[in-house]
Amino acid sequence: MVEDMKTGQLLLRCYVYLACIIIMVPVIVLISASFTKSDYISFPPDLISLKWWNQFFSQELYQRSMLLSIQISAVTSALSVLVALAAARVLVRHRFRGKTILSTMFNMPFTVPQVVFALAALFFFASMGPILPIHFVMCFLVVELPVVIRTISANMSGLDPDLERAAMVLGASPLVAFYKVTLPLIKPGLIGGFLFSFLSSFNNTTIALFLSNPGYVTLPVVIFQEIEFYAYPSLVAAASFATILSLGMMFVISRFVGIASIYR
Amino acid sequence: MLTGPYLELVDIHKSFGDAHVLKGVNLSISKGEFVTLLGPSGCGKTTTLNITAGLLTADSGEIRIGGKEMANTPPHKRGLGMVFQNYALFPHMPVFDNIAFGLKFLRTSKDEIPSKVRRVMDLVNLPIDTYRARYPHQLSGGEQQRVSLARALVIEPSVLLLDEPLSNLDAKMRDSMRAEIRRIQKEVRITTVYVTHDQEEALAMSDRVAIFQSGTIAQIASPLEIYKRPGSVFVADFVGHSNFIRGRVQEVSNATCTVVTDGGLAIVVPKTDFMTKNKSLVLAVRAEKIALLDKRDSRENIFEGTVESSLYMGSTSRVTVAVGDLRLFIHVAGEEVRTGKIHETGETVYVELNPRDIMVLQGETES
Amino acid sequence: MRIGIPNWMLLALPGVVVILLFFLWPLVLIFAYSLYTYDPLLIFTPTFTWENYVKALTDDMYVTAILNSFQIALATTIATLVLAYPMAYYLARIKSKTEDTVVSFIIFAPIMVSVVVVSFAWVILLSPYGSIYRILTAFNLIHGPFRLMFTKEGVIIGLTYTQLAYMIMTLRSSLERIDWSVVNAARIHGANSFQAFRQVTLPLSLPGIFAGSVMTFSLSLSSFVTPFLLGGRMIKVMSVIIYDNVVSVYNWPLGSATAVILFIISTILVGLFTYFLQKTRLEWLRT
Repeated sequence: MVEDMKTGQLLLRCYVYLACIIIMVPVIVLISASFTKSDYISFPPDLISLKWWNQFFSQELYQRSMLLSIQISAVTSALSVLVALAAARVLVRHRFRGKTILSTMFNMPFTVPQVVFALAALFFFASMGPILPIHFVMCFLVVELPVVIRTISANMSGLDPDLERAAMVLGASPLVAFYKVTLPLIKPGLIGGFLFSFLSSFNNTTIALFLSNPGYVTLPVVIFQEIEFYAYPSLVAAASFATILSLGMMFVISRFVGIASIYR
Repeated sequence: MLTGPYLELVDIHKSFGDAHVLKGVNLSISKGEFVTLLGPSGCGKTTTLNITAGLLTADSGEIRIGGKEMANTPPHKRGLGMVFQNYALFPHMPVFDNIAFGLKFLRTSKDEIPSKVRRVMDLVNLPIDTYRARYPHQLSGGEQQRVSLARALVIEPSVLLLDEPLSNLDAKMRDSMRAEIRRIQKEVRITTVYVTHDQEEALAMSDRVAIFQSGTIAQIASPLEIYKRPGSVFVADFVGHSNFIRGRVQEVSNATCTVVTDGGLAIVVPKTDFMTKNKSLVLAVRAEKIALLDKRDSRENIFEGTVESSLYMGSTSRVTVAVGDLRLFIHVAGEEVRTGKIHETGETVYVELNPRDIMVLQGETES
Repeated sequence: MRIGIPNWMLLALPGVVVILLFFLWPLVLIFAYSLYTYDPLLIFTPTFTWENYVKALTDDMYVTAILNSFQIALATTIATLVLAYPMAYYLARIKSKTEDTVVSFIIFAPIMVSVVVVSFAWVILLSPYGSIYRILTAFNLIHGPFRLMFTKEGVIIGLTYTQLAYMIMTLRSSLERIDWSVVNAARIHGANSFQAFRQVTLPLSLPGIFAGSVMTFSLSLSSFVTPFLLGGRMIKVMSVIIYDNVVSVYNWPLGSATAVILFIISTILVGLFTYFLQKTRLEWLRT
């Protein structure tokens, strides 16, 4: 029995697998280069050593920036989930005249280049005084809101609206119905949104760069600046750490909502 | 007319993963015949059609069209035409291009294409000048279906395949399209394989109907044959609504037999070969073949019973009557013909089972 | 008669406030600043002037930057499209869920990891004495210096890598919306697999191609980290110029003007292609 697509399908499959391997190459190179014993960046590493990882974990600059990144990301994610949840609730469950306008409004950060927004944010906050971590939070919030809203909305619209109505008929107030029925059922979406927001905030470079000042630098910004000037392998360790952390979180996210759902 | 078979499927097997969907399908269709594959969802009829088309490959078995072995031929070289359930028109092409699509691959000369398209559009009742430039999304369901048919026919295929083409249409449209398709098929005299789960459709349109039962063909025969002489309980149950009565042969005489139920009812049935004394049988009577009388008569097989439920549905009524240990479902005219009254629960009635209308089956009994 | 906003509408309020206050208002600020005059001491004075725009559109360096940005964005879009389409097609037809998850994970990795990290990895690979150089010399494929760092080609490679996932996902969702029985209809009525692809699948995936290309082009046009790290100070693109102006020279008005130009170009692009997407010829796809 002949499938005349066989050769075509085989070629396609080879291409896809090859592409996947090539996609992984930079990541593999990066992480393995961090284990080098030498004093300069090299791949493949000449000899294996953990010394740069030690350096990374002990250097104050990296530790401080990592802590800052984590703090900012945590706050941003929590806020973004709350705001997005409220917005998603309105968008998914109600029909009203200004709906398209509202949803366009929530999508706007998507349409503006990050550089432009970073600049705007810098001007906006600098004019009010020194830049503080809370400003980072607000900027990241704006940039991530469209995606988190989309994630939670997708999750919510898969939920049968009659469930809440059934609860209300049985005596629950709208708030209680929401809390006891809807909320538990959209938990995957909420967690996914939170983690995704966390990841985006943690990794955000452009805005963080424009907002950074000697007092507050996030990890990506440190890496960025260090690339320009020093390029010691401990930098590679730092970058590898960020990579492993990101991939790990991504894995967890995919367990909750699946990666692709964010972009559909 | 009945020359050798034109389309032949021999012992086709197909599995999807662990599911053994086709377990030895055998089909033999003559040139110009209209055969319907009928069965519930999941029974394998669409899979069979797809294998015939070449869209799927069978795990084993042979496919022959016009005598030629087709298993190694890819779908685009088999010279078939196919009409899909959701029409599958090319949304980005106007009607004319949709229909003319297959002609390009036959290397039909540019001059001939318009006349061929015109001819086939006349055949399906779509005036070419009105429709040629329209796009599929501008057409109604019925119009789309006709374009789909035209597209399949214009390439003068050896076999026409139809996969539940009418299930997306509303009831009225379905009726008229059935007649249309049959008319066109007869006019063009094309060998046709039609797949549906709608029994009425199958019986109305086909020269022969093949009833699918979990991966094989349970019976293939003319509509009349299937209806009046179903080969098994499954077939009898599948087409129309039948009552099944289990019993044992009590007496065998020249032309008839008496079958006795567990509850003691003696039913006279026409004699068939496999009837021997004490043999277990299943009798099947169609719901619309049972008569309801309000008093006894001297004919055979008239039993007294009580009306359990009666649903008046306008032109018909669905009445359930308890007769002894049996419960019979009966379709009658909405109101009694003579008296004009509707049957009521609790009423005493007399059911008549005309021996001519009793089908005797062997095989597994069912619910 | 009760006047007032229904309770549930208030829920939308925080989101709206965030957007209005922290998004729209700062953008308005940029527009304003772009019209102010640069002052080396005060950074800017609120004196209205067009000189920033004049400079941004006529000065050699700026014009070069705009052209560079366009060139790079165009090349990246084409490269990404060509590389992504087969992968999107494969994923759209994939049957095994595990394979789908694994491949999707790999594809998404570059964008989930920080762009600075990714660009850094490419710096390591593309450096004059970096990994690729060492591998090529090890196989005697190259003699002499290996120049991909600080070139447009290097930037394009890096950008393509980071944009691939978005393009694949956009193409994929477009391909998944295609009714495959239409493709089957083509194959039965005479088209071989390649012809069916070219005449049916490809045209039907056009919306995805458009959408993905616009997105990639916009993102590439305004990308910052990758061109900066891989192109260095030698390849000037618009976002790098903005950064320079603002962070090094503190010429906020000029930086703003450049940013506004970038923003306008971006918006026009998105608008143009959305318009083309809505046009009648593609109407038939908006079932």
